[in-house]
Amino acid sequence: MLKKDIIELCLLHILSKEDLYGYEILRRIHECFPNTQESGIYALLRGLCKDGYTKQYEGHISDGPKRKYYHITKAGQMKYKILLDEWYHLRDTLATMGLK
Amino acid sequence: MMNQKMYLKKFSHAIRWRLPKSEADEILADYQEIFSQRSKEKDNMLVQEFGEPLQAARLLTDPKMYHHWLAAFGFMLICLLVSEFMLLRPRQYPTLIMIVPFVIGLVLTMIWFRSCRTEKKKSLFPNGLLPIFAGFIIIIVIDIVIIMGLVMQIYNFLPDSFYGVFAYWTLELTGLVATIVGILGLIKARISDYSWCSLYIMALMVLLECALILGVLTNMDLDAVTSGYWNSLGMQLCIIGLIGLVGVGVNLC
Repeated sequence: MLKKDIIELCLLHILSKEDLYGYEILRRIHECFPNTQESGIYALLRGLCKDGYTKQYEGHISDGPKRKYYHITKAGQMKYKILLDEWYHLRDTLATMGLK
Repeated sequence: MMNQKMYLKKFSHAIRWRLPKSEADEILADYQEIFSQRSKEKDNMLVQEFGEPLQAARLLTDPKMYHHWLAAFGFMLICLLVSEFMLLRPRQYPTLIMIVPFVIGLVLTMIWFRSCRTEKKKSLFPNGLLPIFAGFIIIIVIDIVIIMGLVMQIYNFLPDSFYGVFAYWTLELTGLVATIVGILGLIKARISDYSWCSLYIMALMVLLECALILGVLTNMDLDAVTSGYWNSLGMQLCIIGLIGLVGVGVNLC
């Protein structure tokens, strides 16, 4: 599992909990992965959107400007489960090797 | 230090060159939205957090699509440069061979930018196109006046020996301007608005016509240059001009 897949998993994970706008998504992921550039995270987020795992819609927060929100699709939820299973498998494999 | 405005400008150029216009517009809108929510005080961290604009654009590039664009751009550029080469090495090349780069360039621009033509346009001429277009047309008109005057021998003040040199340099310089304008048009058509490719088509047309005229003027076979030959050349120039203008019109409207 590459770092790209792990960040995709994190993106799908936070979107499975709630719809978020671009800046907030980048901010949250960048907090967890400070060494990863935000442009890279945005590229992955856009890739997920292009592949149909997320979709964009325009929304407002009270008295705030219009923002593009990201919403996870059914295909995205399936992808999330696949990536999560891969992650558990990798974690268990590493655990059997004594890596914790 | 790069501020948000400078970063977006550089990023915009890079992304518009690498991606089709609709996709680049979407990404730029996203970046503008993201940047609008960032504190301006964090501008000194911009490159550190987002990477260099070119690098950020590279991450969003689909290599396959980008290579297709580079190939199309290369072919369109070659068409222009082959026409310029035929003008720089004036000979009476077979007309069919001279027309090939014009036709390929015209067809390629029509195919490549066809998806852009479905988009709604704000104005006929995007920013900056009109003055360059007008300037180019003025140069072409001056060129026509000079060449027609030389053919009709109305410049009495010029010694006879200068006629050929004057015609040669007029056509060569017009061709050079056309090549530069054509390359500019092609680049701007990609990064700004597809209407700019009308300049490229016009440049191809001008180069071909200059090369055809110069080919005749440098022809040593005096028997070939009869009035019938001039009529046939005039007809060829009119047809090429008409096709070129239709191409220009399609890309402008």
